[in-house]
Amino acid sequence: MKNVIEVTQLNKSYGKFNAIHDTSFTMQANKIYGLLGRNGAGKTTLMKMITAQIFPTSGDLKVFGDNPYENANILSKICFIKESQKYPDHYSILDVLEVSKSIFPNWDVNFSRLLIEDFKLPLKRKIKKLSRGMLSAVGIVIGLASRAPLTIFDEPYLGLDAVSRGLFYDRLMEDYVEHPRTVILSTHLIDEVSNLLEHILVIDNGKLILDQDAEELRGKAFTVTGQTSKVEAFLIGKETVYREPFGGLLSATVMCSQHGTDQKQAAASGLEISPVSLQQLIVHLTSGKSEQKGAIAE
Amino acid sequence: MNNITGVLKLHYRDKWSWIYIPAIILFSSFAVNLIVSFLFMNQEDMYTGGITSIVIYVFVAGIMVVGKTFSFAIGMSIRRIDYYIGTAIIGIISSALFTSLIFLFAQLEKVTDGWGTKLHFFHFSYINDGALIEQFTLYLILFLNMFFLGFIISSFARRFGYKGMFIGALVTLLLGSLAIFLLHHFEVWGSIFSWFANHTAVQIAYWLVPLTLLYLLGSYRMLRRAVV
Repeated sequence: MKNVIEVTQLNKSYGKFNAIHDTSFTMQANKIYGLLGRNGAGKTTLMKMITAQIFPTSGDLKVFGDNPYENANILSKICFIKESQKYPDHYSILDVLEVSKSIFPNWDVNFSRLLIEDFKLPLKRKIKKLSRGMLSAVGIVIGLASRAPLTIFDEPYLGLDAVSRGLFYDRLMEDYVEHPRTVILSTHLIDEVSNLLEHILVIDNGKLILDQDAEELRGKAFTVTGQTSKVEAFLIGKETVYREPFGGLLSATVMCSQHGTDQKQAAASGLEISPVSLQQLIVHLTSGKSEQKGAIAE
Repeated sequence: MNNITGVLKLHYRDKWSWIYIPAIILFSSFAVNLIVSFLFMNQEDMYTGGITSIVIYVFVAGIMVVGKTFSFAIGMSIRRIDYYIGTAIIGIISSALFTSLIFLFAQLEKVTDGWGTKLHFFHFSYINDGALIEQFTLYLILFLNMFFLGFIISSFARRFGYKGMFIGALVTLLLGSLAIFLLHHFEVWGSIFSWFANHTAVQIAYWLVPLTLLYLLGSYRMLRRAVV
């Protein structure tokens, strides 16, 4: 499949601080990617480089096969919705939509109107006077209605209530099915979006520590539940991601070992097995407890 | 090309900055002066510098434009060169617009003998001495120079940030002081004044053209490496 993004040994440093360190990865067309990581991990920096808003210190970066910097052909295929997007002072929502219409080649006016109704956005209101949630909704409308072949959402849900977030996920999926494109979602709410994501990248301290298919990742770990003593016995010699005791029971998430007989062993000991929560797994992977971090990132 | 249209639209949506505010400034200043001149009717010719308000506004518009729209434009996947060209076009269009307006009113003022009250708001001796085309050119150059001076300042601020602005301002101040000191030291003020006196207004304005071009070039060099 064609690669939409090719990043090779990319570095970005501010003085002595390495915001992005020696990062390499590729992204394929028409997939939904999750770019996950803690605050200040370098997610926004990375996405700003992909969209030529800031410049890499060193390394190679190709978007749709070429350097995106000052490349009209490539930039017209990108829509980057960032949490910190600034709008001109006097702009109303309508102004933003009208400008978007003339900038994005695939802009769908009807779809944008539908989304405006969905999110109950007041068209005439000035951007300055919008609440945080409404501002986020404006970004979502632009991101979806632009139908850019590479659409990037950086923390798009800030201040949005659960209903609106659900609406965003639904609309994204519906439209993605009809108009496939590459979507990058950067978010903290991992469990909320985990069903949408096909591929997951995790950055920590400017380094890419995980680059894996979402399904494979889920297969990397599983959760066992049972009597505390039985679970504890099972956990010996295994890498534990997360443990949550309640009453006499213990629920623990463990990484699968190489030979893959863990689940059978657990079943044999009478423990209940359930799929892992992506959030727990990623928190575990990024909190520095895992010694096998390097192995997973391969 | 499509993207430059986008930038033009981006600026044009902000009608307050480009049309309403300058119109309000110009005409409120004119209205006040006109009222005052009515109160002092049948006196000598009344001169006012009210027209400078619009010249300063154009300068300020140049200073504000990058800060207000650059992040948004780059955030909307617009190339820096397209933003630059589109913004320069807007600057040229509005300069031409204000020039035409002032030119028109200056002729009206002359025909009506200062709106019947001997008010000189748009039409002055010396500035409006030359041929019509020269009067027009003079204002056009003046507005363009002011806009692009503002534009290069805001591009500089975008490129080098507050620290850069601070250092840049200090350096400018220092160079200015040095220049004035040297002029004083070598006693060349007299020849400078006589040079100005010996040239017509439009001849002096022509000297602003290379400066304006320099601003244009400098703004681009800074914006193309500016980040968001």
